[in-house]
Amino acid sequence: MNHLKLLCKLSFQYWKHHKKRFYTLMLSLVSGVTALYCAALLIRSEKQAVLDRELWLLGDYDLIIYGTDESTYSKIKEDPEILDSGVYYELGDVQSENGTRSHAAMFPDAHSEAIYHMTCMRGRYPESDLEIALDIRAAKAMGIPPYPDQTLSLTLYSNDGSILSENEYTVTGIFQATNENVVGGYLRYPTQIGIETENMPELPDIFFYRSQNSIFQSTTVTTFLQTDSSDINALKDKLIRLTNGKIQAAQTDIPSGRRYAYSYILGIQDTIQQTYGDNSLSSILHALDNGDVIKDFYSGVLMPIFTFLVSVIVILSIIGITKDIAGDKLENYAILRSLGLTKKHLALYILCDFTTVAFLCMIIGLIVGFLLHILMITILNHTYDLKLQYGFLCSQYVHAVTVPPLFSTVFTIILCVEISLLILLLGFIRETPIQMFNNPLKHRKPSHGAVKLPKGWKSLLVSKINLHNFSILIITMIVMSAAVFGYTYFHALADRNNSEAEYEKQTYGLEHWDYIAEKTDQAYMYTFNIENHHDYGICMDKYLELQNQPFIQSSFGEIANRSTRITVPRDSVDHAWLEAFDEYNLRAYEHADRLDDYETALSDAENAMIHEIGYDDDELIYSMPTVGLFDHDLDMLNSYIVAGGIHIPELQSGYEVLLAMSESDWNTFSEFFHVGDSLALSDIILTADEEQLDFGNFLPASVADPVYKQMITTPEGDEVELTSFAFGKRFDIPVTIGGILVLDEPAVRQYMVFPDHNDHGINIFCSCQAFTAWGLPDHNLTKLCIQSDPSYPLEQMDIYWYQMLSDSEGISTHSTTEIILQMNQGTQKIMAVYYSMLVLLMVIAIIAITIHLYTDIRIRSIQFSILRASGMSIQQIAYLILQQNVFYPVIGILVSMAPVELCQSFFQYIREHVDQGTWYQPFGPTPWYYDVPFRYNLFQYHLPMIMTITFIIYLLIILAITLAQIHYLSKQSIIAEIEASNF
Amino acid sequence: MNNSMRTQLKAVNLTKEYPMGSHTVHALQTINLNIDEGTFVSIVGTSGSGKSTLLHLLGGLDKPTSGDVYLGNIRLTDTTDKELSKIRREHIGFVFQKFCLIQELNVMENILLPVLLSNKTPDYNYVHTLCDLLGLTERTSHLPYELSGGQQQRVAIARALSNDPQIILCDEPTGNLDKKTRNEVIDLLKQIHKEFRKTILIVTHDPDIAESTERIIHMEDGYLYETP
Repeated sequence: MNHLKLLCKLSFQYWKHHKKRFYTLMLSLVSGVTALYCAALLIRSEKQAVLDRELWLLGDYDLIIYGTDESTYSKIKEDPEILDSGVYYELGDVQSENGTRSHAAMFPDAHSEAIYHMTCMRGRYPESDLEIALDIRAAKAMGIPPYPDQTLSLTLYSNDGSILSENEYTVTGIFQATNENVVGGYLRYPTQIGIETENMPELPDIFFYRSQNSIFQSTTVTTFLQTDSSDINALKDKLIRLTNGKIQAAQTDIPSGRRYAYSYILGIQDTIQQTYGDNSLSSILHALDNGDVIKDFYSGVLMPIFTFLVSVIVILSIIGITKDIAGDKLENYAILRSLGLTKKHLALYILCDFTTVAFLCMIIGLIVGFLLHILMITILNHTYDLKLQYGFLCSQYVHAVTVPPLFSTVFTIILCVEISLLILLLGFIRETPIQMFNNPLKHRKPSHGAVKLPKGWKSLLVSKINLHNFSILIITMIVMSAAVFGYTYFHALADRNNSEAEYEKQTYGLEHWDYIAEKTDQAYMYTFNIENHHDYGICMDKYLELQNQPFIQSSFGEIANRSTRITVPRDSVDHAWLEAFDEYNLRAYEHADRLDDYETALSDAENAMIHEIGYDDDELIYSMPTVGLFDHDLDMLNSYIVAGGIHIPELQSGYEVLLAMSESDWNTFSEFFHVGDSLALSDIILTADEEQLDFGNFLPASVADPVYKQMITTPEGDEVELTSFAFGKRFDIPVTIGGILVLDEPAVRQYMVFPDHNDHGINIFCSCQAFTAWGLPDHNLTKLCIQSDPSYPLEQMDIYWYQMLSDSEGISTHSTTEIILQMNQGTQKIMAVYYSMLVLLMVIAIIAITIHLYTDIRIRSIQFSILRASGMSIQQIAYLILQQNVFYPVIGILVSMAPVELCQSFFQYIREHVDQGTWYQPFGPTPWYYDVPFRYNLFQYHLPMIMTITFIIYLLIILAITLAQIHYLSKQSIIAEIEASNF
Repeated sequence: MNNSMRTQLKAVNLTKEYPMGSHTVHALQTINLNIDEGTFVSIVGTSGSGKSTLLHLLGGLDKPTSGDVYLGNIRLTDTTDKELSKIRREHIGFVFQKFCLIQELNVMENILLPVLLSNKTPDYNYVHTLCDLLGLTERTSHLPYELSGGQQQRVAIARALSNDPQIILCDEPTGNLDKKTRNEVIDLLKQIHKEFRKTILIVTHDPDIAESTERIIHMEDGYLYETP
């Protein structure tokens, strides 16, 4: 047997007889490996989700050819430059029961579906005959809630417009192809084709199952192609030539597609063209090969910080354990040294011994980390629907910008082990064999303190027996700071990422309400403020139905009438009146001094119109919209009254109205309006036929005779026919001013005041019932806002909302659900990364602290046995330990404030530079600070709450470990410990 | 606990067994013993004869396998850890072979520890008398590692006496000392016995020390034999 075998046997025997030590070391290393591996995989999952979202927005293709046929597609895909391709069949149109038409398509296979890459936001694409997937906006337009499991009766039309079939379909998925905030309404609007083109393709907003093509019999296909070609335009031309003109340039679009998605994920979308001449896939691949990619925030900043923190914890715990183990083995080391083993060989032996164990632990840790990652992704996807993919299945692009999990974990842990061992070796390797026998690792000579007569055992022992462990303190500070700082920072990051959605919320007025429905489709004849389609809007019954729903917290409804106006005889007003009311004058060509024939003609035409409607030539007509409110909303306005009062019965009967204006307008108009004055209010009543006209696409001559017709010469010298048409008849509404309100509060103005008069102008507030009392046709609500009970499930509320409004015509609806779900998902994804990493950090910290506290108490158990032999009870020992252990969370929570404060100061520094423009760079890569939420205040993210929670959790953990320490000591035999001691 | 009670140690059918691998070691075998108040008793025997085990059981530092130990009329084997701790700090003083001083505490603090643990105000006159008697007056501010073995054992004796217990249990107090120091320690114990009338039980394998006590108890293989 050679000496190496002997040394191996020595190690093996030690681990065999000290299994607890082995398991402790293993636990520490396995937890460290698991945390690092799992975190790195999670970062890859998150990044893959980002890539997936980009591909969802842009499509996983580089070239799309609309409206071609199957044989052309077969020819195209054979081209060597085409890497992969997919196709959908353009089936034709379908029409829902409410008359909404949509363009239908179907994927022939799952591969095409994957390349088209328009992942369903809810549910899935159809998998059987009578299933469909529907665009969210199309679903709303068809009057169904945009959720799976809805049924829809559809009439199917062929591409040439003939009816094929009528069937009832079940919605299995909702995708988002359209969005009101993007050009053309479609997320994948064909950018290079142009709206003026006759061949403008219709993008599908409904997908059928492939079997349904047996009904449509369509052979028209849209194909999407993947290529790495650096010149896609040349490829496009080549394909046009290849198909002998069967496809045309006007049918072909080169979307941003894969190139943007991949260059975005690599952080080089701004520089790829500058560096490589174009932004083709081949350039991106070159950039990948050259390593010209920029790691994202998670991989570039977060992961190194996390790795550092984990490394510190792992090193501290390994030092604690190995010191304990080396303490046991020191006698053996001393014997080996006294028998002639050199320091170098002893050091090598120790390094090999522990490193072998570390490798074994690493394999176990990697397996545990792998399994934990699968579990974590499954739980996160199941709980929050985050659509995260496994980190080990991500694309090469994600690989390039993220930390390699396996390598980084192995490298970090081996480095940690070697650093720990070096620190350990420095503690005794230079000692002589005899000094080693005296165990230099365990000797801690106490220092002298001032000689004072002790007052009691508590002050004596607490001051002299120091149980504090510096490693535990460091670990505590790391974990608590990571918890507090991480929480605030990640919330700021989520807020920054959600700022677009927040803006969207504000745009629709959804910061005060969860749901808003508005009558938007009424025709509006701009020139004389005439509105029709009074049958549109939300039926009053719907509002009353809402009032009885327990899940509705508050609601607001109004009837806005744009067409009301006031009239005054010209000779009854002075110059001040004319000036103040000028911008509300509805007579566009009313002039005191007529300058020329042209203007005279325009004025005559207008006069002819207003005569026909029922107004006099010498009447001044001013726009003054009316807003009908419910009684409780009118009551709420009491605090804004500056003159008169709110008299509900008079308002309900239509006898009185309220005038509402801003403070500055009140300063202007106060001299003209007085409470008790009668107001010459009138409206335009349309005939039943006129009510149904589409004033938007209007050719008056086709439906009515002109009231004025004259050939005139324009200032440019052109001879043109001037015609004027009149619609509706004047309807006088005699009312009295009951009160005057000054409304400056934006929150109130935003939803009460008529939209066109939001910033300025006078609004007439009346009761909703007043319109009926006056005999006007304004019975339906033009606006309905609701706030639901926060405890009521958002999705159920959403379904209820869309179902309730399904038969309301001419309205557009806005729901916070989609925005909130989108924001929540963004926040959840970011917070999921934070919480996952925090949990991993906490777990290894708890393991490390437990190991340290256990080791400390084990080493000191002799001391405690002496104290117990001297008469110290377990309760007294518990007090001594607890008092000192509580110190850790107290210090930890105080220190945890520091990174928040430092980071906030750093944000301030960035803000100053950005606002002053000193860091402005017109060109070049995206500045690093774009990744930092420097506009946000970290202190506003529930800092006291998160500090309290962190402190309580940590305190409970420390108490639990302390209880375990006390339990350990109470189970120790006093005399066995004393006899085993080696004084 | 009644402080005025007559202190007397009594062991009744005391046995102690240890498992050792597949065997059981019978450290004490049905020991019956009475120790009267104020006596100076030595327990002698070879290594492994069970003398230290007996001392530990009598002092409540260990639990017997069967049988009972009485301190006065208190059955130690029935008491809780809290009560036992109180008995150890107020009625029994221990002196160990390895001194067992708290390294972080200086001489004075080590001596006062049992008094302080009882939440009593130290009687400094008594403590200074003890220090004078034990020759520690000049060393009260020293830490244990700054003292010789003999000095450390004297601190241990002072600590054992500081709370004025009725019984002092010494487990081979001279085992770690040279002959000269050993004699000094034994002389001190004799002097303490004489001056303070404490009941002292001393475990030793030194026949000379045993000869100097009032009563000698022999132990062999866990059995007790007493010299008439």
